[in-house]
This record gives sequence, C-alpha cells and structure tokens, in this order.
Amino acid sequence: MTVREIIEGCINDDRVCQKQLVQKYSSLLMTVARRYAPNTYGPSDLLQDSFIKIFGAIKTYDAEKGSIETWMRRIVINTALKKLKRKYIANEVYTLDNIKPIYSEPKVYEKFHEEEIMELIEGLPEGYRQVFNLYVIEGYSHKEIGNLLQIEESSSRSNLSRARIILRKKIMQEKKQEIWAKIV
Amino acid sequence: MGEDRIEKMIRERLEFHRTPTDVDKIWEGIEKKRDGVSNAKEASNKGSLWIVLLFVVISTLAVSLSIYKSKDNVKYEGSAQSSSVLPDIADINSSTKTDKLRDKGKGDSSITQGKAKTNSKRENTSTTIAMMDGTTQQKSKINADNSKDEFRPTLVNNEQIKTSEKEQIKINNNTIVNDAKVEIDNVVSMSRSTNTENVELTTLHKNRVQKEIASNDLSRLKDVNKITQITADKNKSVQQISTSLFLLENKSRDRLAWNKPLLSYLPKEIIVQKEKAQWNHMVAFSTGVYYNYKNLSNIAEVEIDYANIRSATETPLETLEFSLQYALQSIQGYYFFTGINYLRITERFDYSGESSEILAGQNFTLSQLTKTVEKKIYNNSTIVDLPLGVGFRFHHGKWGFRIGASANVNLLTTIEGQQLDRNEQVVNRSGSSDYKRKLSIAFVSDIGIDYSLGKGWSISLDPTVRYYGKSFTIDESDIVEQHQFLGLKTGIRLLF
Repeated sequence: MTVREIIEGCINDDRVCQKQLVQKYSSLLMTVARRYAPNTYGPSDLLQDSFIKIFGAIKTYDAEKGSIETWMRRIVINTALKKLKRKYIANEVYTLDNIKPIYSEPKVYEKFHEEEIMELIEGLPEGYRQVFNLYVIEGYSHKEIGNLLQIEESSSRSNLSRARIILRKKIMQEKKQEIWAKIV
Repeated sequence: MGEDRIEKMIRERLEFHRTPTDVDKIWEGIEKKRDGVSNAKEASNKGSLWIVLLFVVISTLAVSLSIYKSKDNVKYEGSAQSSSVLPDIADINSSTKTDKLRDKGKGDSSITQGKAKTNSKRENTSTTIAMMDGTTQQKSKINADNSKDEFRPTLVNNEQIKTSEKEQIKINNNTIVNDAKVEIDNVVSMSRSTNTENVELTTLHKNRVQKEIASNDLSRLKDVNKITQITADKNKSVQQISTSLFLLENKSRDRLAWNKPLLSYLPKEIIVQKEKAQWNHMVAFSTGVYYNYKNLSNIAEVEIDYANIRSATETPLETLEFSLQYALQSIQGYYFFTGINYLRITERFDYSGESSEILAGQNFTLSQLTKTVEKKIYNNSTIVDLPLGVGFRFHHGKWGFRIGASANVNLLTTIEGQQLDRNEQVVNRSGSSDYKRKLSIAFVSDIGIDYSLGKGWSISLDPTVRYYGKSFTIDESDIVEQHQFLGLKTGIRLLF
C-alpha cells in the first residue's frame, strides 16, 4: 500500500489504513515525542494523542505544501507544546553558577550515537529543552518560539543559550568518563 | 561557528532517527483513547440535549403551574343560588356545599345571582339530602315551599350584575334565541326517602345540549359555570337542577345563557355582560450587560496553534443588549413572548506592531528608525435575534416573579474589527471566511423579578444566561470560537 493510498484510506476513516499509518511512522514520530515529552507527559501518550489528531485532521493535509512526515511532525510538536504549556518556562530555574562555557571541538560530538544525543536532550530542563528542540532541530525563529511558548523573544534566546551550555557540560562529562574508562 | 556545526550535526542525526516502538501497544492506546474521545463527544452532545430538555421542562412546568393555579382560583360560593320555584314545589335553599358557582377566574364577569330572594312562605320542612353530581357528593338542606303556583327561577338578579353592555333578547320557549344559547346539563330527579334522606340521581347526558345548540355556536363555547337548584314538588319528590351556564361568543361578545327549559321563566330582558379578557398584552424594553465567556480551540493541531495565537491577543470585554419584547400573558400567569434583541459584543485586540520613521540626518543622509509599538484595538460585533419563548409569572402584592426560557433565532450577525491570522498578520475580521453569517439558535433562560408602579407599568430585573451550543465559526474552519453570556437585564414593562 502506497503512502497516498494510506492517506486516502485515513481520510475515509479506514481503520486498516490508519493502523498502516501508525506502523509506518510510529518510530519516526516517537523520536519527536521523546524530545518534547520524555518524562512529564510520556512519549507514548503524546504519540497516541497526536495520531488521533492526525486522523481527525488528515483531510486538511495538502501534499503540495510539504511531506506527510513534516506535517505529522508538526502535529506532534503542537500537541506536546499544548499539553506542556502550563509549565511556564520562565519560572524554571536551573543553576548555572558552576558551569563555564566550554568551546570544544565538534569532533567530540560526532562520536556520539543518536541515542546518546537523545538522552542528552532528554536530560535538559523542560523549558530549555523545548526551546532547543524548536530552534535547533525544527528551525523556528526566536519570535516564533516566543509566540508558541508565550514567552518573550529574549527569554527564548536566553533559554537556548543555557541549554547549549548545559548540553556542552554534559557532553564533556561524558567524554571525561569515556577517557577515564579507557585509562582504568 | 562551532555552535552552528554542532547543532547542524545534531539536527541531521536526529531528523530521521527512528526510535524502536511497540506499534501494537501504540495502536491499542489509540483505540482506547479514541473511544474515550467519542464518549466525550457523546457526553457533550448529551449536554446540549440536556439544555434542550431543561428548556422543555421549564416550559412544561410553567404551563402546569398555571393550570394548577387556575384550579386554585375556583371559588365556591355557598348558598348563592337559592331560588324560588314552582308552586307546590318546595323552595330549596340549597345552602352551603350544594351550589357551586365555578368562577374559573373571571373576576367581575362571574355570575352573581346568589342573593336572589323569594317571597314564598316556607314550611319548616328541612331535610338534608345526599346528591351525586358528577363526581362529587353533596349534602343540602331543603326547605320545602308549597305556597307558590308559578315556577319562576330567580337565578338572575339583574340589579346585581354591573354590566358594560345591555341587550334585549326575545325569548321563545322552545327556540334557541338569537344570541343566547341555553341548555340543561344535568337534571337530577330525586325520590325522597322519608327516613334516610338519600336520593337517587339521574343525569341527562350532555349530548342533549349538543342537539339543542347549533354546532357552530357550540364550537365557540367558552366556559361553563354550574349552578345547582334543588326543588321539591307537591308529592315531596325532590329535583336537583344543575344548570350549566355557557358563555357563548357571538360576534364580538360573549353571552350569558340559561337552561333552555327555563327559557319561558326567564325575564324577557336578559342582561348580558361582556367577559373579561383572558389574556393580557405586555410590552417591555430592557437593557442588559453580559459577561462574555469566550473559548477558542483548535479542531486539529495543524502546523500552528492558531487558537493560542488568538487567545493571547483577544480579550472579551462587556456585551450590551437592548431588547424590545411583546408578551401575551394569561391571567393564570403563563406567557408567550417574542420581540427583537440587539447584542453588541466588545473585545480588545492587543498586538505588537512596528512603526517606521524616516529620519533626515546631517549631510542629507536619511535613516530609517523602526520602533515596536503595542497597539490596542476595540473590536465590535453585533447580533440581532428574535426570541420565541414561554414563561410563567406569579405575583405577591406589587412584586412579580418570573421564570422564562426562549430559543433565539439569529437574524443578523456582523463580526467587525481586526485579529491575527494564522501567519500572525493583522487582518480584518469582517473579511474573515471563518465566521458564520448566521449563528445557530441561542437558548436564553432568565429568572426575573418586577415591581409594579401602577397603571400597568412595572420595572424589572432579570439575571440571564445566553447559551450558544455551536461555534461562531463555520464547520470548515479549523478553529472553534464559542461564546456564552451571563448577565443582568433591567427594563420597564407595560401590561395592558
């Protein structure tokens, strides 16, 4: 069954096609769900809610505007943000007192496996993680992020900056542990 | 530079990364949640159904209360129908419970023949008899009067009827005369028992009435008032004559009529009285202020959270209502109303805009200064609708209490002002294809009080709920905009 046939079946509320869509894209969208709702909401729950919305809105999908993957990814992101909106990012406090900016070589990061990167992102505080995801991976501007998360643009920049710092620190810690393990 | 490369690497590696997922478990969860959603939708539909049912119940309650109240208004006028009777027939003073003049709330139009007097000599015969009249059992004292030779019912005491209109009616014995129609509803023959005072009753069927009254007149039968006479003849047999008084509409007036067999005994001049109106008219003008509960939600999470963008920039303010109402109100208290309502919904639209200014510098240099400015715009929308409602009013002294509900049919809706579109650009709302041109029916319920100022005028205060079950936006739109209103109306009313 082609993607087009699956989509048409979903438009006609065909359960078989809907299950096909779930089978085909679950693993891809689960990555998105994990990045946005690793702990508080639950990526499985988020994915299920997103698919329900996808089935309801699939008739509005316009293939000329983009791929079905991109369209579904956005639905997952919006669903996550809506569910997590109540946790106001500005109220989150993460101490950066002992964190100093580290400018390490990109090669350090390249050695990380995707799952390790996922774990690093999942470990970010929620507000920082959302901004990092939206800016770095989805490609939103700070203005768009500000509107989506109902925060000031400056808060979005600040959160991104802090997310980067935390991420680098974690990577360096991982790297040190790796080196230490080799020595031992 | 380093940051860009790192982030580019992260983006590339995560963009198509797939997390191993238990698809069956996800599908199972989807099925369960979907059932839950459909149940929630059903519950929502049931909610709307409950509101409609509530409306019906309120209407039914109002009508039932009015009927109940009308029954309470029946007045029993003890011995009001004592009458003089035929010669050799005992005059029976049907005291107390026997004679019932059922007023049915006609006020001044009720028949007042009760105090007719007889000059007959009365024997001391005084007997209590038990009678059955329809479903009731009654006891009466009978005073036999054998001294008179003529049967002359004095059911009508002309002097006691204050009339607004008089008309002479020629009466022939067996002819239904011009305007007045008469009939016997019940003629009860009673054989008097010497010891027990119990009597056996027979009743003439009402069909007889129908034979004697032209069908077209019968169809205009308005009301029935029963009067019972009890008579006794020379042989001491006792008769109870239950007389039904029909108010028949003739042309523009209602007529009072008597039993046909008694026509010959009626005075040649019958005074008729115009019936008091059963229905009153009421006009009211009121103004109201509502709090607007506005709710925006996405039908689907498509690309951007449009509802969120709108909610963040739009703030409902006060909603004003002006209404002109006409009601037809029964004397029992229930009323039906219609009219026209005008609602003006005000909202504030806040957004950040940029203003540019060209500045001329030295040496003919020009520079552009762009500033971010916060803007506030007040949006107005109008709704004109027609209420079709029912209610019930009862009063205590000068205070009236009302409960009413209506279904308001939308006649006109205009949405004006500005809002953000999906791309967060400011657009005119009047040009938006999202809004319906005509809204669905609104259910309005109010519980009000009014205070009489005299001469039919009163002032009123009504806490009111206005419920819109459906969105202001069209079905094809991916945003749902719902408004519910809670407010207070005050106004002036004239009953005539």
